[in-house]
Amino acid sequence: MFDYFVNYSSTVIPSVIEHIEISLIAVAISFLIAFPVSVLVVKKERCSGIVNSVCNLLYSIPTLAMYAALIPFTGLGMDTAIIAMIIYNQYILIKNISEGFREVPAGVIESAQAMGMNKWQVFVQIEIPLAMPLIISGLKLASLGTVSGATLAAAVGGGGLGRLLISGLAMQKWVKVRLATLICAIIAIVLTAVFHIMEDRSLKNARGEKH
Amino acid sequence: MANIALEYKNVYKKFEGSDRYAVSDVSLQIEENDFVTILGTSGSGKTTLLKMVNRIYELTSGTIELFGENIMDLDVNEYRRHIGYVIQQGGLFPHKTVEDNIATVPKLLKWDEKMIKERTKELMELVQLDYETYRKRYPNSLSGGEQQRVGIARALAVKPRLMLMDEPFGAIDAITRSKLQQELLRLYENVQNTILFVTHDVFEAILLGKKIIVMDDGKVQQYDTPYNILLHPANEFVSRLVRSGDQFDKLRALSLEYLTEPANEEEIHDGIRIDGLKHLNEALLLMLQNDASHVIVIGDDGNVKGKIEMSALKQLLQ
Repeated sequence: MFDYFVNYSSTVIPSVIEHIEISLIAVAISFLIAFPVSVLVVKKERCSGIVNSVCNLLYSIPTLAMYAALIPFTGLGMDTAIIAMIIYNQYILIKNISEGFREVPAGVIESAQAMGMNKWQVFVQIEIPLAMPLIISGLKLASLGTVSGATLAAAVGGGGLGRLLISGLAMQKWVKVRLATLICAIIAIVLTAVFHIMEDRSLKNARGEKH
Repeated sequence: MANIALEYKNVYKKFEGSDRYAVSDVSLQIEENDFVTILGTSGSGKTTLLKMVNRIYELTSGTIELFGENIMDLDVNEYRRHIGYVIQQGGLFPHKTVEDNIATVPKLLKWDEKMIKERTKELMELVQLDYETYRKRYPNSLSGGEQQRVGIARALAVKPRLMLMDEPFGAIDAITRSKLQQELLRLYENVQNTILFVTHDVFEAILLGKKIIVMDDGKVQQYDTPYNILLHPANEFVSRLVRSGDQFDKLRALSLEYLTEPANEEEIHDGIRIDGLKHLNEALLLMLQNDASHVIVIGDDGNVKGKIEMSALKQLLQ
């Protein structure tokens, strides 16, 4: 397997980079959408029901069905794969981020307001740091889901490690399949470790356990 | 006549979705540097009355004036920075150190670092928390009592024009609570501030308040000195409320001044002396122990302030 990696590094490495690239873009855009929506859900309870239902519904669509639905609009390629992942991530991210904001104790927010902080100051100085552990936990779940989900991007011509997997399977070249699987696993493990540290830090920060 | 710090004028509050007024037609004046307790059961409107002052709740109609200015005309955030606020669980920011919590308002007002540090130190001394030991600690590592001390220090940070306290000692064990009550009184003597303090505890209301606002059903039932509330309850409700507590609690809560009357030379000469900062229960104990019919009250300066007669105590306990 190692030999294969060395021999074919010129195709494997770009696949790995592409895979990470797709995942990063997908998670970043997912977050940019989910964060404001979560804040809206928390601040305006009225929106919460509809947003939840929509997210639940979208999350329950199988990946290939989602691709099939998207292809007429977005065509084959990376875009379709990324859009699908963004849609899936909304459920996980909105659930976690909004829960993070809801868990900020009402008395703490009230105190901050009563001290004369404006809305923005309350949000940035109080709500975000206290919601951070769950925000990061949501990002962790979304990232892991995206890294594994991105392997299916190859099905719509999106590239990434999925391409190695699919061609490996088609050619019954198991070493290729094993290698792609292993790299996927390594990415997931590294991600988990990194997020674990971030989660831990933000939790200690939010609870005031830094020393 | 002292300045009027806070005035409610025909204040009403109705919460959205509710068909009754939480606060109904309240008009009253609070004098500068007075310590006023708001006493009532849950749902009486006592907390609403308090929280309309810093606009956590917006009043429905009427006006509230702080030193003659309609609070609705002021910039809300700027205004709030000069109103101290302490709530039950302290409402401390868990992710900030004791020092940073206390510095919240000075930072909002953009004081320079050195000034903030000095003020923080001063405030921590005032609430009896050792600066070096506590400044870098986080609220979760403090006891309930220590958290409330930090909360009080934070509220006092910029010498507020008014202090609002919403059952600050409600969740604290009896021994610590009693200690904090004593310290709050001492603090009040030292810093001279107008304080509005919500409580459901009759004893606490009497002990701390120079005046008490008794609330029920959104209306002020009586606004008077503890002595008058105990001895001359305005109506059935107030009477029932103050009688619900232990009779001796009243003595424990009332300071000597309420029953102190002028004494003649002979009485001063014969009388057993009592420190003017003590409470009526101690006067009673002293009289019982010495089989005396009166005690002589001695002020801070060592001078005689007058006497307290056993007969006056008896009348109070009837």
